[in-house]
Amino acid sequence: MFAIKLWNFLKGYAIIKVEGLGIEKFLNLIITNNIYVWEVIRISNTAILAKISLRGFKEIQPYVKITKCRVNILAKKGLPFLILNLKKRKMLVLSALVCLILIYIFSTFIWTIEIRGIENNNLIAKQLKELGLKPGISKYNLDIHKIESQFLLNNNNISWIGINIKGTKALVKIVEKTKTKNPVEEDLPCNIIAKKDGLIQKITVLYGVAVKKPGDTVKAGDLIISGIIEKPNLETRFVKAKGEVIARTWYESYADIPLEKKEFVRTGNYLVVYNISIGNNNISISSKKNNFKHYDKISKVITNKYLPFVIYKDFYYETKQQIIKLTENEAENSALQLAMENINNFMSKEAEIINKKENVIILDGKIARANIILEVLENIGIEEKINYNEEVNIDQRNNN
Amino acid sequence: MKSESIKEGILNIVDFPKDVLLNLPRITLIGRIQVSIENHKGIIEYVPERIRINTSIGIIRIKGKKMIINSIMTEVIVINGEIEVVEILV
Repeated sequence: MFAIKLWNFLKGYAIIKVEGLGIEKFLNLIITNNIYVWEVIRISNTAILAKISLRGFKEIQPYVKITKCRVNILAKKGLPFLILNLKKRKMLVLSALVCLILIYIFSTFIWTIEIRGIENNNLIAKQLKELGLKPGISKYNLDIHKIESQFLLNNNNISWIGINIKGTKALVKIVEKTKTKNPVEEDLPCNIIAKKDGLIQKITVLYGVAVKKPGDTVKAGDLIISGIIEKPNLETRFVKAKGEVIARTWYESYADIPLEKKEFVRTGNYLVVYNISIGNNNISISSKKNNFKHYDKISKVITNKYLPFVIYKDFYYETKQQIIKLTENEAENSALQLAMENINNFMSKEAEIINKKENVIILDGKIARANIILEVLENIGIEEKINYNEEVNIDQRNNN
Repeated sequence: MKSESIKEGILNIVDFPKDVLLNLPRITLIGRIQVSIENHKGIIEYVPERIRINTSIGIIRIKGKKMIINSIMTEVIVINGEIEVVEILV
């Protein structure tokens, strides 16, 4: 059905009004002669409306005479008439065409450049501009591969750059090189020393000479694995000491939680105020004023970032001071939790807890004080660069 | 008439669509909103409440409300509207 309607639209059709007494006879005559009519609606006892193709309309004239009907054209529809109308309005067609062409031409340029993955956007944008990627440049004159490789050559601290063109927007993704974490550069001789006090449980030496043995106590800064290898009848060698020093260390932490505390609680009343800010000027739109004694303020930006002005929606929540009383049990638990969190901030993540002592006391019926002592096994070895000259000097001094 | 009965006998065996070979009208009702009649022989009467169509087996009378002839061709008439009655008047 749709195909037929589309065909009729392309070929053009007319809405006709047929008046007369032998309308059924007229319709029969039409259909036996293969003239297609559709949407036949009777509007009165002696009249119908119908749609008929242009070619059909020319052919019905003899049958109109035979059946003594009268036929009027009420409207002409379809593509041929549309074109006919447009021919009378040449400027309209022309300007529509020009508009389309302009849209096409402007869509071949790059208008915005978005840089992601780096904080210093301006510097990157400047460099890209020098390489030829800037707003207003044609997409087809752009050699992306060349720009990418040239950019990488110019910037040593960037490991990857990807330029994607999406419509009129160039999306530049940049990955910075991550700095290596090793504090001591490869191949430079170093010792392993203790970074904190502890009782050595186990030493695994990969390179170097162990100075301490399991069971020894060490203080922070003590030498554990030496990178200086001295053997009788052989020249002293300097190596990069490597190894793992598992030691037993202790952590202690205190935390106090008062049983009564004052807190601000939202009462449920709130106020919404809109603010427009253009440049540095703020204008409040709402007439309501903030009369709350204590309040929380939450500001939201509700406008698009491309607009020249910003509208803030400020929520003022009224708050009330409230005294919250904790039971002793609750206070003890939260004090313990706080103490444990304190320790976790210091402790390395690989540390293995082997012993835990918890102690909570209530002071004066007001404060719960938690005390945690943790005994853990962890790697306390840390690399320290050997100062060549110093060592050599010491050696020389010893020889003297 | 003998040839007709032979035709019918063959058709019963091969299960061929009967309306094609026997020149019978095919009336298709879609709910209450549309009726299409294939193999008709022209319309006799058309008013929005009543349509009569001539076919080889007699007159088909359709009663309803606000009926319009959606399309009318040599082979098929499609009628839209609120259809209430479809009768065959022999």
